[in-house]
Amino acid sequence: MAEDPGRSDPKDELNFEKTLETLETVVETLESGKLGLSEALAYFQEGIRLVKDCNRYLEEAELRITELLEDAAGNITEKHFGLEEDGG
Amino acid sequence: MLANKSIITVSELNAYLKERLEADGHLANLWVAGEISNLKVPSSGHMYFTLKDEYSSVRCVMFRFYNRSLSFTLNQGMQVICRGYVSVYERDGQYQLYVQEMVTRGMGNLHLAFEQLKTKLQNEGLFDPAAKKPIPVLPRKIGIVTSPTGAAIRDIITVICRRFPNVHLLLAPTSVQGEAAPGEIAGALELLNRHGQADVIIVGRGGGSLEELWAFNTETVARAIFASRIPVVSAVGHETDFTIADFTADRRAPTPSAAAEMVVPSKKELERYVLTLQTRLTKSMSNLLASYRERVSRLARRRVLTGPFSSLADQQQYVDGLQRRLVKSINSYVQAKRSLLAALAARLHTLSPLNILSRGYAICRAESGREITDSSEVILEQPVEIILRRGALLCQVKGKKEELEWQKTLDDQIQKMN
Repeated sequence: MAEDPGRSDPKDELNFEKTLETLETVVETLESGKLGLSEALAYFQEGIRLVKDCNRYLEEAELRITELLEDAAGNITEKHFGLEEDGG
Repeated sequence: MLANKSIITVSELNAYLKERLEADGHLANLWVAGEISNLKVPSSGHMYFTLKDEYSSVRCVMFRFYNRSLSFTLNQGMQVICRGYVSVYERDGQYQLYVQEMVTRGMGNLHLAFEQLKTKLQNEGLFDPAAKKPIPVLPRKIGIVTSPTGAAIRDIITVICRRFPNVHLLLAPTSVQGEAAPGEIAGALELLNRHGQADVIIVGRGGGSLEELWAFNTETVARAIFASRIPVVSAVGHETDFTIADFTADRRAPTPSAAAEMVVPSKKELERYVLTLQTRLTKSMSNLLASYRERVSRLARRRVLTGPFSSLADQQQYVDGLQRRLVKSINSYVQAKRSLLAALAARLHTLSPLNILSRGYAICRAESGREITDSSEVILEQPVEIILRRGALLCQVKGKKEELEWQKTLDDQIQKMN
């Protein structure tokens, strides 16, 4: 099992959950002490890369809110939504 | 009790009536509908009133213990439904309805409808725990079914902003009360499912009365929630009471804010967790490196590696030793051989004819070269050669002697030894 410990597909727009799970696996494997030195280094490097990915994802603070709309033809679109400051 | 006596007291009569009424199972738990009149609420807090319909009335009491939990204010003329038991107030000889629970007429219908729908849907399995889907730990898109102007959407946005802003909210707006609400709510849920991108849906509204929340107790909304392929969290603002939507949803939150907390993780907690993982990662790596370094230094400390010269010197020393031993043994060998040689040379020397000759002995040889050892071997006048230590004499035999005395003795001795 000395292959590259799971690279996440860039197409997945950073699936944080999967990245986190992969990181957990890498850490547990490294802690098991069953790896040889060069393998351990490879896992370590991959682990650091995953940590960086996780942190980058967490640093993003963009909350997007859109409203779903459907026209008569059944097409669904999204429109930007802004909170109205009314008393209702 | 009365059977034996012909004249009884009033107390006995009233007591008997009380006992008879309380023994009747039909009168133990009734729902009675009527209009409130003659309402009196003295300082004790107990409520005394008359419940009447078109033709008759009945006296009622609702003790403070029970009327405390009334969700509305009792008024003259109100149409209500009361639950309680019938008994006698012995002192006055008055039978009463002892009310334990009360709802307003319209309310009563709603409650009934609620119970009936609840039973029906439960039997169909809409509330089945096994049918409930888990909500995702880290949703990327969250669908929200609520009013676009109400408090619910504001609260949800606030909580998510604070807790984990890196998500996309998809709002499917709807009214949350009124006649059109159930249909709109169901439609919104169905729209989100068709759009298909949300990982989880929150459906709800802020708090309100039972009538205001009523849409969330309808069959339409319940079935729409159950049919949703996307997990649904119900968030109908009511801390204690459950709506039908709450029973049907995959998770229930008491308020929209609580639903938002349930649905997104805390960014701070995640950051802390990732940091923990990072620490574990670097720690186990540095432990590994340390243990390898230790192994290497332990090996390096072994004599084989620390002084390649000293080892060489050792080897040289060893060779020197061998050489010394070799030389020594050669020497002693040579010595021994020399001694042997000397001994042999000495023996040789003693045996050497020269030695014998130098001691005055001479070798007598005939002309033929044959050595003469017996005087009988020559005749007179015979030329013989006498070889001295140095040089030789050419002689002629002038006279002979026979064996001499001492020669004879020596021969005898030798013969005796053999």
